[in-house]
Amino acid sequence: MNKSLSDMHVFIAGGLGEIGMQTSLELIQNEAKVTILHSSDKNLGNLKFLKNDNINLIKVNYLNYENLYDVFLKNAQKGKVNSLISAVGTGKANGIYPYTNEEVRKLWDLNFFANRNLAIAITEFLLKKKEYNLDYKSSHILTSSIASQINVSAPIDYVTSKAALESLVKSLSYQVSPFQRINSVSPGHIYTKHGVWGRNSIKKPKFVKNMINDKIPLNRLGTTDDIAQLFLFLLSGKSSYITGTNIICDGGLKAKT
Amino acid sequence: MIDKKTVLVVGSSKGIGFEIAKSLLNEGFNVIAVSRTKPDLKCDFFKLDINNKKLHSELKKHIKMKYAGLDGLVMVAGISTPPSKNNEFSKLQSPYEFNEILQTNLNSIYSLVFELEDILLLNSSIVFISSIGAHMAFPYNTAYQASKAGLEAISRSLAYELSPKNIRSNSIALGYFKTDMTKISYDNEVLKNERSHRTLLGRWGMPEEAVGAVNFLLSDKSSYVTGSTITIDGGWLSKGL
Repeated sequence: MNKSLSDMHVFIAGGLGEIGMQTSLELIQNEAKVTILHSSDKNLGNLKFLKNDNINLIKVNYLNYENLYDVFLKNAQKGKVNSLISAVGTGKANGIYPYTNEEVRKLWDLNFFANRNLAIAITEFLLKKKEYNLDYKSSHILTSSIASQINVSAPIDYVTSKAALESLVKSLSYQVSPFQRINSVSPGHIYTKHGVWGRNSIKKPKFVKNMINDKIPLNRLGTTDDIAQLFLFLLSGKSSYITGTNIICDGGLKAKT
Repeated sequence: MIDKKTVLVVGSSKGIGFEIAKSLLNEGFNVIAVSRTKPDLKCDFFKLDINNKKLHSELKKHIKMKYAGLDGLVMVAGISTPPSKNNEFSKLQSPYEFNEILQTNLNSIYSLVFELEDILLLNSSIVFISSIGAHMAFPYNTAYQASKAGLEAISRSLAYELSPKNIRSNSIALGYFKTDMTKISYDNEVLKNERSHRTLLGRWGMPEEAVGAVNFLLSDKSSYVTGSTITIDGGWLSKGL
């Protein structure tokens, strides 16, 4: 077990989702402190799997920058390396293409503006309060998608919001260097029980099997742990010279496409 | 020894290759160091000039005799040479120089992977050390940049071709690191500072900072990462002007 994260306090936005929960679990096993940020009570039941003194839980409004800044101000831990991992996002759009303005706004609110507010709020807070950024080791990670790079039949407005997210990471890395690092990860097709591939695995198992055989060289869907491990690598000092970049974790989907 | 994972590090005598081999040894791997000169490490060593393709099969025999196969293959070997000053008509590398660099950085690397393919074990991982030169232009080094772009293409193709054995293949694009290859520019204060300022982190990378990504890519923690390139450049590519 890697004990090198004991000096860290990590805010996990979207922390009640399956990727967020797996990440929290890994962080706790590596002795980091965790604060889960969530905007809805829908998945609160998931927390029973994670009962631990090292976990704090806060309900936030991702679209309210001031609210988020205030949350970081009040909950960051002095003398620790405070960092953000955001798994906030959705590929779910109601209706059919072309989507209504309201639906487009929902996609962009969650996939781009929520992450923009989170990332700028924590980086601005840490630029002002350096005592919360021990040895300038803070490292933030946002979750993009392979959909920003190749066509995977995702809603166009999801795709464009994720491309914008990667661009945000590049620009923000310039803004906060050399005191903080920020990177994004692009997961491929990840199995989560309540996500698109979890639902499709039940409703359209043959389609899923064929898609895996045709498109993914490693011949399987990704797991929440695949993504959590990449988060942990980017969070740790083992990636100390990596910033402003995006790492793909897709089982070879893009390479083959 | 049987339970340990075995990793071959090609180009391990100094710089980043040396740090990778040293780190893997510390992590408990069986390390087979391959280079022209023996590194100061307590591990198995096979002397090889990668361009001597006749010896590639000897290396395979050596591995087969001592190990069940390879769990990891790290390709660090490479050369970078400026254009000779003999050509008064052009600043470019001559076709001969171009070919020499491609021969080492691309052809010989591929030949060695080809030779070793059948002793790569199920679930093994290949890591190619590339460069940000594969993604942007630098002066006086066309061949090096072409070779590294080619290396990343090889890595992607192998990710596809070798996936039936669940063998993964990835590359790491490095920015400026303090190594023997970059000694001339690191020792020159003007060049050193100029290159520091091109990065977001405002400094050169240290060889040990490349090691974490190699270890990650060799481990099961990256079991869904294949066909990818991880950029370790202190933010050089992102910074722009």
